[in-house]
Amino acid sequence: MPEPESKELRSDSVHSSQPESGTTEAAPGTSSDKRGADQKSGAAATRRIAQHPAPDVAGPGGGGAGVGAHADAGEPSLASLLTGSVSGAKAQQALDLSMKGAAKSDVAALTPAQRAAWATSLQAIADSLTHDERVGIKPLFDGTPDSELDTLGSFLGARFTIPKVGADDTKGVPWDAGGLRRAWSVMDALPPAQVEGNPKFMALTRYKVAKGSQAEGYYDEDPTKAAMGYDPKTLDDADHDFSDKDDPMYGTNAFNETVRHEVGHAVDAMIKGSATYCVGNSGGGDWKDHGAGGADLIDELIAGSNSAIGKWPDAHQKKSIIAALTKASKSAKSMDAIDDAVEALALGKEATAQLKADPVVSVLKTNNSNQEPWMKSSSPGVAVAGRIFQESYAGQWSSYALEARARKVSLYQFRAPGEWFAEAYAAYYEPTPDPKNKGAKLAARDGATKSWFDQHVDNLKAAGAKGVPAGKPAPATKPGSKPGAAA
Amino acid sequence: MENDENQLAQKRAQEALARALNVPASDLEIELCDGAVVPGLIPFRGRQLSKKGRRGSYSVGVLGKDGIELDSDKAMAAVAHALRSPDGKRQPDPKMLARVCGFLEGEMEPARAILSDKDLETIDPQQRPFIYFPRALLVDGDPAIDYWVRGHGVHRSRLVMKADGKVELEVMSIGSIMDSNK
Repeated sequence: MPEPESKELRSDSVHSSQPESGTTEAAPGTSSDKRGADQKSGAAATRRIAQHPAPDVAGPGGGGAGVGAHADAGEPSLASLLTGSVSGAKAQQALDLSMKGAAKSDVAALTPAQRAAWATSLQAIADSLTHDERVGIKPLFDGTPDSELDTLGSFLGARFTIPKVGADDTKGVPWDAGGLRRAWSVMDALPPAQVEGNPKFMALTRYKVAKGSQAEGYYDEDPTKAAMGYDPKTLDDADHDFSDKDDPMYGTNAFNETVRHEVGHAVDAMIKGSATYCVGNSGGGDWKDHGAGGADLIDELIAGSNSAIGKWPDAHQKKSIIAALTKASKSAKSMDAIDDAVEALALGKEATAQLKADPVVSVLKTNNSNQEPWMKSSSPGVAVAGRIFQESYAGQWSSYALEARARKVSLYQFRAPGEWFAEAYAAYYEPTPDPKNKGAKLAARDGATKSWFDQHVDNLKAAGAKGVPAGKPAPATKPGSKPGAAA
Repeated sequence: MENDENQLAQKRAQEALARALNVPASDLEIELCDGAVVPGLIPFRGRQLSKKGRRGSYSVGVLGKDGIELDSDKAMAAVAHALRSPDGKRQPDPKMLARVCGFLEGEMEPARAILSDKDLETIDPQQRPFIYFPRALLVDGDPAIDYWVRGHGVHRSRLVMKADGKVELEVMSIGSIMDSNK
């Protein structure tokens, strides 16, 4: 059984820029937070003054001569730069200064208000920073006390170019320092193009869960948000619920795995990975979308099974049966009560018994979303023509090739194509003791998919800038930084 | 008659939730808690249809004469209060309280308490030995119930009813329990 990640973790370390590393994740501290800055970058121009003294842009902070310049003698101190109103230009200059040697202790010597202003401003200009500069934010984050949760959230937002880090809009609770520090270390180990360069990852929020809950989350493509629910006391817990004991993901740290999983959804949204690799492709489970259920689904189930419904001798009864099953397929609640629906057809004792045992009826009873067939180790539900037809979400049917389940990394992977991709992603980037073995968890179960991830995911270049003002020239693409505003 | 009452309750919950979320009522599907009888309260779960059943598209709560309550802790506390005898001497029936609170746990996606042999049949055979039906207990002197829930996996819930009227919910996943029983 794999060791929980927390045992190999570290904290307070300054990461060098290693976009491809994927190997280290830090253990957190604890406490309790809130952060909700919702800022788009408006300061790309500021950075261009610093890096490219082009005449066509002006910094919003009034950055004049010397802003961003590498001053030597007479260089201002961090404290002096961060006194009073902190413009993007000053925040940038302070970052440059800190990267030249300011220590964690220098950051700790600032006042809370100075750190807060610095963090807020850096988050606002995050789009204009280079990858190396963003990496340089780590000591600032590390030097910020656990009690300054808004500031920690802003530094994290600046590091990963996430405009909103804070409580979710609904059921939201503030982040705590332990969760933020752990999330940082997980995202820091992922390729930059997938996190800071991902225009489909604009918010990282937290929502309330019951005490004792294992970490969980969800991704919402509108408004491109990853939301996490966790109890700070379970941050170190391993997952024993969403994987079979033999699965590669069994026993991995649940919080870390969930962060990676949600980033995986954002990557999927960016590259349409599940649509490309999972739908209609045997290597990715040969998934098929059946929409909200209904007559087409019932027809396909009848045609693909040895159902008696297709050959039902009484045409009137057959029509009634199909109508009842079509209606039931649109509501998990009805599917739970499918026996009642069958009896209501009043077909007579023998015919009723025959219909209750029919494979189409069995699919509706056992493969609906209330039953969570994907979570069952023993049987993922009734198969028809070598496929599992299931209601992945309320009102959303899909099917996959049963044989693909032999290559699962977790139980949850087989809920839906998007979950399949996100779980494969989480497995691929699960840290390995030797960085050269990246993808080993996925390769152990599914070598072909690991190879596909090597080619199509891990070597991604940033697909689009997030927050670069429309119509403006984008910052030059650098390894690990966002490229221009690509179509 | 009962059907009419249910439809009316659904409509009231739908309208109240639409106002609370500031979304069109037509975008909300309301599910009531099957078999729930809670004096003065309508426990419900709403789903935003435009979000296609994904996690995060649900809301749970209760609707009463004082309006709608969407904070699940407060909703559960209201249910526990409503199910207690008026003099406060008799605690809520564990099965009814579990039925409603298990339903209200479905904040992210549908959940429900495991209350019968039929419910047990839906559980993985290797997990069944660990699962029991709702039962009352005392936790540090406070009345409480233990019950099992299916919803994004299977877990055991412990709902403690505090003297100040609040409730405290603590959950433990079946994987953790099975692991600790090795």
